[in-house]
Amino acid sequence: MSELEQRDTQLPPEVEIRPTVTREADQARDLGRTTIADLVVAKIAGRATREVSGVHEIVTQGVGSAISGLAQRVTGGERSAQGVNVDVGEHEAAVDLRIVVDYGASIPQVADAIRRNVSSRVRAMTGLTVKEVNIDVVDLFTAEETVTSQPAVAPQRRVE
Amino acid sequence: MNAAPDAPDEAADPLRADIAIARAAVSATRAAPGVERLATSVLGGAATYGRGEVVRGVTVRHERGAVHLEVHVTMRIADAHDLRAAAEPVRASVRHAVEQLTARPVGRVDIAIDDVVFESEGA
Repeated sequence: MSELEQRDTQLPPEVEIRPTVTREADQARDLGRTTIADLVVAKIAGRATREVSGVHEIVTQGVGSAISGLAQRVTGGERSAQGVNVDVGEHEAAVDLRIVVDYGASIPQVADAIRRNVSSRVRAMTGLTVKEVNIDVVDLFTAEETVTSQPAVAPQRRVE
Repeated sequence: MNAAPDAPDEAADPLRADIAIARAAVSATRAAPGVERLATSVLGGAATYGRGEVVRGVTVRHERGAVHLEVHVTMRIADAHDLRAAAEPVRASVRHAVEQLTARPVGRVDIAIDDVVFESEGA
């Protein structure tokens, strides 16, 4: 008790506790604020990624995000945000993507185009500055693969 | 009875008043441009509870004598359009509708954009 009291009185006098001024309060006074859900940022980023020529698909991430993906599906999240992870702060966002690139496309150029498109879309639509877009190219898509990986004959007959 | 001339209805039945406000906010939101739907989550999402009645996607709270609302929406938007700008007509529409209903100024109308649908996607 006395210790606590002592602590309180020993607070340096120059420490001034100020109310934090939030961006929302600043921008909209008392009319109300607008919040944008992470899912929305992820959807915008995902769509901007798919628009880039050379991107074959975005792949869903590892186990952790498979679980969060499940949660998202349960809570009404949608497919277009799958495989896109976002960290959204007050002014900035970071985006993580795992993609499959079409064979023959230049990976650095595709990655560069993704970064530019994602940044400009997210910024235009949400006002957030995209600080980083991390791109993990996990596979290349070649046209032959579709033939071999999707055999026309039913493959179920392992035993009879 | 005459003791509260400013808000006799709310004093009499605050639950009913809140539900009426929430309903007005819902119709105003639906009517606003760019709104695809109210964003309603069945699992404990934002909602206003009345007597045997729930209005999902809107919360109503009273603070310092004013009514404040929070509206959860799914917006329909074209690529590269500003979502924050798109939320302004929703806010204005909700404010107007609730002010009409209560005949008092509304405090904050917060718009939570929970989801988006892009215009080039089908419904």
